[in-house]
Amino acid sequence: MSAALLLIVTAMALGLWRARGKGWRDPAFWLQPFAALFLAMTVLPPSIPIDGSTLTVLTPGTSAEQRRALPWFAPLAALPGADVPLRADAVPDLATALRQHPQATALRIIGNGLPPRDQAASGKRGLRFDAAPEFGIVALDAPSTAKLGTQIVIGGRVAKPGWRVALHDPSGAQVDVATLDGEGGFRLSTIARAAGAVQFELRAFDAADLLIDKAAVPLIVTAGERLSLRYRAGTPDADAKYWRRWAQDAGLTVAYRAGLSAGVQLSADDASLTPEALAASDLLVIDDRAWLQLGADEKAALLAAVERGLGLILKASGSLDAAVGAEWATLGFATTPLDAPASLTLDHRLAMRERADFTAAPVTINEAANLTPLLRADDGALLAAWHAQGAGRIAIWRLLDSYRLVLAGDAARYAALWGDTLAQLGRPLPPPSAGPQTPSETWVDERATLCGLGAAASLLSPDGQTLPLSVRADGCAAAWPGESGWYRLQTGADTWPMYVRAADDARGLRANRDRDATLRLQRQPATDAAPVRIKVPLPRWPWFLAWLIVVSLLWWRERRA
Amino acid sequence: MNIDPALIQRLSRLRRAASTRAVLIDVAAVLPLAAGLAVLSLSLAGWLPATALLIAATLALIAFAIRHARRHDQTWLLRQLDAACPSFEDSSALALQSELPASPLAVLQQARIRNRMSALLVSAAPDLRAPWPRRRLQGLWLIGLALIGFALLLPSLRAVLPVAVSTATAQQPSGQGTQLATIRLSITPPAYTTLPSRKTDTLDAKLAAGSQIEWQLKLDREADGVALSFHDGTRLELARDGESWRGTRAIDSATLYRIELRGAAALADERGYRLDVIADQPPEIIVREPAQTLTVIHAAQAEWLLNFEAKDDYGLGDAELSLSLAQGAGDQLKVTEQRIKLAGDGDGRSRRYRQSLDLAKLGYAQGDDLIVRLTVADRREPEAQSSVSTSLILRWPADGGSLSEGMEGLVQKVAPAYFRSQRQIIIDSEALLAQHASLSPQRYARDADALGVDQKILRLRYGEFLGEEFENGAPHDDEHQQEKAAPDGLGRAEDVLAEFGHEHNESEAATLMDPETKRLLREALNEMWQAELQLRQAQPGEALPYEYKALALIKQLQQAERIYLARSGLELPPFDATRRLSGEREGLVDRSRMLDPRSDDGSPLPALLGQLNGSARVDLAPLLAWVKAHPETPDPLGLLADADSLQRQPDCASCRRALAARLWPLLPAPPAAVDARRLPDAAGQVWLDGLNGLGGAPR
Repeated sequence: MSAALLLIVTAMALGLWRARGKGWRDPAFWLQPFAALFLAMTVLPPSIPIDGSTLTVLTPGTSAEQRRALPWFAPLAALPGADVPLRADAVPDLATALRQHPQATALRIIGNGLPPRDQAASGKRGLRFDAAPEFGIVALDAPSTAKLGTQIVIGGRVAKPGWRVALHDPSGAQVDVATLDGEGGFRLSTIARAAGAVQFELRAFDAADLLIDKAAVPLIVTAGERLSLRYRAGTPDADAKYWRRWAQDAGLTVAYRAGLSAGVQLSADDASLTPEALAASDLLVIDDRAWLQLGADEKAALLAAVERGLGLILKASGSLDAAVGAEWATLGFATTPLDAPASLTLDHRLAMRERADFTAAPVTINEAANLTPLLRADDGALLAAWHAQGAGRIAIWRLLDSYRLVLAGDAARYAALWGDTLAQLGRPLPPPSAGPQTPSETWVDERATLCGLGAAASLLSPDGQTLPLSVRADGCAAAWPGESGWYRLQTGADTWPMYVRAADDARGLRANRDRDATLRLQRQPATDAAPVRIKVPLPRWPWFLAWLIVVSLLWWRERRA
Repeated sequence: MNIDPALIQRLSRLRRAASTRAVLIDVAAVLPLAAGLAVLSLSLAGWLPATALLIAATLALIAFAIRHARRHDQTWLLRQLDAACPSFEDSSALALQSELPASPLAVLQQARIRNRMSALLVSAAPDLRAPWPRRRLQGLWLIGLALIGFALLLPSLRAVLPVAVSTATAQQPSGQGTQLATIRLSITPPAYTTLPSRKTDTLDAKLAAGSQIEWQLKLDREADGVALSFHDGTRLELARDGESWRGTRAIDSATLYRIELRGAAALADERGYRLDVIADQPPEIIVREPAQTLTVIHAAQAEWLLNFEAKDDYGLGDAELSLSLAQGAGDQLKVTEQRIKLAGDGDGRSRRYRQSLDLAKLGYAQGDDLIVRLTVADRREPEAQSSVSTSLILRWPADGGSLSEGMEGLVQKVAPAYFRSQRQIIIDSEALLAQHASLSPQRYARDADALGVDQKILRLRYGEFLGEEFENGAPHDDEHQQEKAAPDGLGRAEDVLAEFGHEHNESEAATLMDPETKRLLREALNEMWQAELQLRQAQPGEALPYEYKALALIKQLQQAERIYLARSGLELPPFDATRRLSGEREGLVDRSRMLDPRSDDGSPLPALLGQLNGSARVDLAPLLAWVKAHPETPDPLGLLADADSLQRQPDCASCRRALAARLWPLLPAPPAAVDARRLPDAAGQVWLDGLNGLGGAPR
């Protein structure tokens, strides 16, 4: 430093010596000391005392207004991904910034918030957060798994300039599109066409049809359970026909029996109600006319089987016979006869886009405390309800023509309706192995914590490279995925798919995640914390600029002379 | 005293000469360098930079020339003269001064020098031109020639020294694979398209159907053979032509091909290349006039104006207007056809055809329909495609009460299938006659009787057309004579028939036949009846003349152009009234009705997609078979190309993803799968048990 000072003083003396002959009137004479001064300031910028108790941290997403409103004389750090103003220090993470500013007792975070990497680093310091406005797809409500061939409903919300959201299938073709509602919400649906790990994509556009954000919708599609069902009907009808068609196509086995005439039956497979057969079945659908023909032993076997887990759907196919009504009332379903079949709509329940009329049997199901509604018409009338009976469940069903959905080309909704019903009423099966706990959202180059791993586990990248994981004693391991796509987590003999988002994928969601986490980190700084004076050197570049101007003037004068 | 003008002229000539020499020296110095660099950049980077270089050199020379002209001015000349000629005594400036100097000495000196100057410049003018910088120019020319030589030798140098020159750049992306040094595809569209031939330097191309492609490939190394292998299994061996390989093929449909090398490492870029084909579209015909297909003639119309417009992508061929005049009403419809060639006006691709039909000349009369269609061909080779416009009908409505009203939908060409077996009966009868000697009389009689039965069946079929019943076999003319005897004029004919209760003719069928057809049919039936009579009596020889006559009549029937068929309704199987409401339950049994399996089972694509999402090797044979079996697949070439690249590189993860994405839209809609209810976990089970232990309902 002193060497530099000596150099500058020498330079000044030399300059003055050279300009001595020109006299004090010559600008060159008195410009010389200024040049030396500015050079000195550039090499050794002066420090000024500022309040260093609050460290301002810029995070990605800092808006232009926020950047303009930054204080001039305050410690300023910029995290990776944020634009770095001239007076800010670019730091690789928050911990580094805090090491550089050990005096900071409070943090002021500007932008989208701290990424997970930096959330723990703030420690017990006070934290104030100026959140950047949200953008893009800020909420995504999508299932992570789906059953093959069922309707997948994807909802969410898009921030302000958004206008329209489109859903693209794995081939890139647009399959559904929706205009946002007043709050920016949307609901899109499609069908899972193939089993396995697939990836849809949401794209949000603004009113000028410019892409503002996109988000992958990873989905694991699995095949269904092969349930064993029985159907007993008093007479063949259209509803049973389409139901059997659907069930068989869905891979279920259906034993069916319908009466044709006295003692003459139409049957497929053996639909008898012996205890053994019922123990092997998951669900029985029986209508009132078939119920009337059941023997006492069959009813006893049936109810015993329900106690042990069988699902039972009592289907009212018309006005109920008095005896049937009484027996069903003892099973927990009190009904009141109506004069005529009721016409109703299910637009709301099934999210139909076109109005469709359905018919219900001319009985009403009396609401009871122990009944769980299963299906309600749009006007609130109860169409189906169930209650638990031992390990099994009994339901009553009075919708007569759900098959109209198939006729109207809505086979997927039909399947969803009955699939949901069976999933609620069928015999309970042991749940599939849950597998390791993987983070719900992972981005490239972020730490992903995987838990519930066995002794050894490895991660297979989309390009087929194996990354061995070092599993801790508690069965957890961490990974830093380097590329986006479907990874496969291998534990023992099992593999589990895990989706890693690209860095530029779902930016809105990521910003929202960081924003929420940072908002939770907010805390008041200690009230009596005195301001910490620290000395901060002024930036060098203005001095350098001034020196350059002076030297240029000198040079120009010398040339002219 | 003025300066001698000749002197001034001479001096300025000297100055010009010096300036010209300076420019020439510049040109001589710049030319070899510019030419050398231009040739070099032409061989390395194409003609564009070479031209730019030449233009820049020219501009620089012009700038130099201007500078030289400025520099070689009067002052320069005087200085040079003083330096070159000591006899001027450094007074050239004085000599050339136009006004008289002030001092008399100076005047004297001026005159002296002027004289010397005139003398010297005439006798031995000094050479003020700069000398040629020979050594420097020699060097520059050598450098220029060396550059040109290097540029010209560069291709052969590349071939001779592959390691030194080309692999240095080639090896970076792809290891040891062979590179294509030059790619040239000459695409010659079919002549009729009049499209220009073009050349591309990519292996993918989009071309008109039927185009001829010539491949001209140059490899960066020696090979024993180069062949193009197409996705349909055919191959094209390229022939060696000097350093390049050539081959020609006509491309009719979109195809995928790959370059296969023998005697050299495989190509570094091994993907399949696609040739997309733009199919020739058939001509498009727009009817401008009349505005609607059915025009009803108005009273004073003497001619019918037609106006068509036709467009084609490559050029229109012949156009022909076909006129069908349907004359007569209802049963007596007669159609005459006529064709008119139209020339049209417009260019080759879009033409207008205007034609005015003189209705009187065509014989168009009341009750007639004139049906007009335009057929336009294009110029496709080998065979042209043609389009036909919609039929335009000009109708002159007949008088009220015409039978043709509402009958349009029933007009059908009747296939003469019913009438075919009369000839067979004749053949069989003649065969039977020939076997007369060898057969026993009983057998002969039986065979003849069988023939008679055939003849009867045939006759009954004919009878259906007349709505008659010929069951009894009695000559029915008698009956009709009885009917004719019925009192006349008491009412309409139908009433009379109803009254007498003997109606042979099904009313609908009867009205559908024109009298001529009816007469022919009736005669044919009569002949058949006679033939049957003889056959039943075991006299096929007697029957033959009748059979021949019946056949001749049927022939005439077949030549009638149209026939009107009676409407036929739904025919249900006969209803067994005896079982109805009888309460009989015999024969009633349980029925088993299994559902048919799903119709779209068996698509290999879902399984294939599963394999693609996994990491194991994928067998693509089912996919190729599926694509072949489903030609309606959109963009099959792209699918095949992706499948092909995966087949080449089974480890390529991005190829897998690309193919999986292509398969997605082709998947059959899967049946909706069902999830089961799940058993609660241990804590849930305890909770449920606790609820049950309370004995109450869960809620």
